[in-house]
Amino acid sequence: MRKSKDLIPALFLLMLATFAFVLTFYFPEVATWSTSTPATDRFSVTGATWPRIVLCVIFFLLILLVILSVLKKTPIAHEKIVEEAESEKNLKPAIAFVLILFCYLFLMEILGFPLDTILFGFVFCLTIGRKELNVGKGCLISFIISILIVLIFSRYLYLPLPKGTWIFRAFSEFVMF
Amino acid sequence: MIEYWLMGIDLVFKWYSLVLLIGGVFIGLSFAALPGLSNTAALVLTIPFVYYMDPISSMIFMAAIYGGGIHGGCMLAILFKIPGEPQSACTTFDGYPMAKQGRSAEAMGIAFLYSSLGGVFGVIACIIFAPLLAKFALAFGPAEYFAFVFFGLSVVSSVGTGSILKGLISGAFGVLLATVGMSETTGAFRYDFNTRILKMGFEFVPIIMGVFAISELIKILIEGKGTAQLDVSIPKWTVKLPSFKFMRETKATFLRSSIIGTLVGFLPGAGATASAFVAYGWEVRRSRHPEKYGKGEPRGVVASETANNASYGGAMIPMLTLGIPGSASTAVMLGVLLLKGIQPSPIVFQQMPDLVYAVFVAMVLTNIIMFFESIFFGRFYLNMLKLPFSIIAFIIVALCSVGTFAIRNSIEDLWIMAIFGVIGYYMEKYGFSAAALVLGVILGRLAESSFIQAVQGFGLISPLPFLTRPISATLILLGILFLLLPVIQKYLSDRRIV
Repeated sequence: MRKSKDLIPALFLLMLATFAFVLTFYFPEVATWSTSTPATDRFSVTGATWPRIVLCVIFFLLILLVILSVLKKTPIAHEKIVEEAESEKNLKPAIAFVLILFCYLFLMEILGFPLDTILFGFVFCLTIGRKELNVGKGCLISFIISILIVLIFSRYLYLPLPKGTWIFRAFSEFVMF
Repeated sequence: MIEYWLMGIDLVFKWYSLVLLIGGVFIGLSFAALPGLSNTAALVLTIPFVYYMDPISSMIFMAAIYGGGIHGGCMLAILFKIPGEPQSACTTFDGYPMAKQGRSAEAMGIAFLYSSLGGVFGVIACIIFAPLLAKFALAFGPAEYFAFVFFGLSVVSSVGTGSILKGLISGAFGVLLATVGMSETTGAFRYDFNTRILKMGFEFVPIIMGVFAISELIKILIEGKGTAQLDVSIPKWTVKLPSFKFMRETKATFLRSSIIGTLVGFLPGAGATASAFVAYGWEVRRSRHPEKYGKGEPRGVVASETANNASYGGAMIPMLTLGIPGSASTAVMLGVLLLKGIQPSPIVFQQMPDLVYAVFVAMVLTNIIMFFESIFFGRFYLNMLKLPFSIIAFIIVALCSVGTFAIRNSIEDLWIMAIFGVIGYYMEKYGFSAAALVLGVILGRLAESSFIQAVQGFGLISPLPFLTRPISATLILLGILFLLLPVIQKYLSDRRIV
């Protein structure tokens, strides 16, 4: 037997909610006043009123989840262990994807959308897509797609796209306008 | 009334709108043919395109994608036993055995025809009932609006998760996320950590993009369900439409499934998948030969496909009239309307009848267009299975980035999208509801302002302002009843077993 898998996320969320609740005491004291009651009975609504109400509801629900997950212990099924081990095996491409995505976003401010997207396409095809596509074909397809996206959105739909800095900004402006 | 209809027809029968309709159905059908990527992802990815459009065109486009997506899942379900969309899972029960018996053309014909007919039925129900509901909802004040948000969150908390408790927690965290930034009632900054982006608050588009598109990519990678991993050979494309005799024989099945589909689709949180299963189950129970179902019974395909498409119209009723989406897909559509500065509410029926009636006309046309598109271009959609996953994922990330950046010209929004992509994956892994989180973010500000207005008018922070007005009290009680329904059902079934 083992504890339900809900316990850890419930405790994590409980900590998060506690932190959010503590922060409500640091909100600036700007208040509005109720107008329907006599001046002596008027109560104030501050910026913290609503978040505290929501957090009280969250606390109640999370404590309920913690209690239920402590009470509900699930037997460890063999299939479940095999399934979890299988999913662990596929973690690598997912982690690679998230890391590439974060690098893509980090570089976007410097390189600008067009160059960064072309680069992202190349890296993506070389890593995630290396089993599906040969390198040359993958890079060519991602290059064409990047240029098409930039042209459609910047030239025809007039959407703003990150331009980058320094020499890369000049490149972005050349492609986009 | 007639002038509104003429206005709607006039708006939809412009070449530009027709192109959007045909293109939207095409996109919806294409995404339905990609296992793992949902209809919601298709809607999310079109957000960058709708920035350019006026509200009416964007809703026509979205309605076409939504309809096409619901319809398209049947092709993979019948030919490969892969439900392209969850709502087509029920179609595999009889559609796939029919294909194995060499009757795939017949199964396809039945699925295409009854999908469209069921869709039209649902839309007609939407056309009749949405204005009636809107008229009733015109009496809403702050207390009723808050009660409605509560009702919406309590019912949507069951979307995409088996646990209502986790759905509620997700929705409540969504409402909490909506409090980040400047308070509309007091002007105070909250949870801003003195950063520019948090001072402005969370926009819902980066969150939608993250939890519905990026997290799906992570999930596909972890589960190893990319399109390239599917080893399928695409069969010869033939469609045989059902005869009039068959249609006469199955008219009762069609009517029952259409009504069930519309009603279940109308219930927020239930959606197309539940519609198909309820209608299929009903048919099996009513049949004189229940043993035939699951072995290639055409009526099974009729029930499943009619019901899941009838839910299309049903799900649009609460979204258009009250701004309460019944599913993740309609939550994205609601987001697009808000993006265009329109808060769906009963007043929209009075102030923007052109929008409402254009959407109605577009929904009817969507069902007709998707019938022909799936017959003539079906083989093309099946070829989507051969597209390498890395290319699809690359396009999705690039489109999400464009759509997210365009909201506020802010790189920080892109980081929010990526972080919510990871959060969305873990939410799904641990059974929390991404749809409820998004709905919480979308409705959070409305909930706060209506709550504060109601209690300020009352002069006391108490539940009384909501419980002393008949409509708000009814809605709150209905919401509580909806939350307790699974507990009551479990109690009753336990007693029955004892």
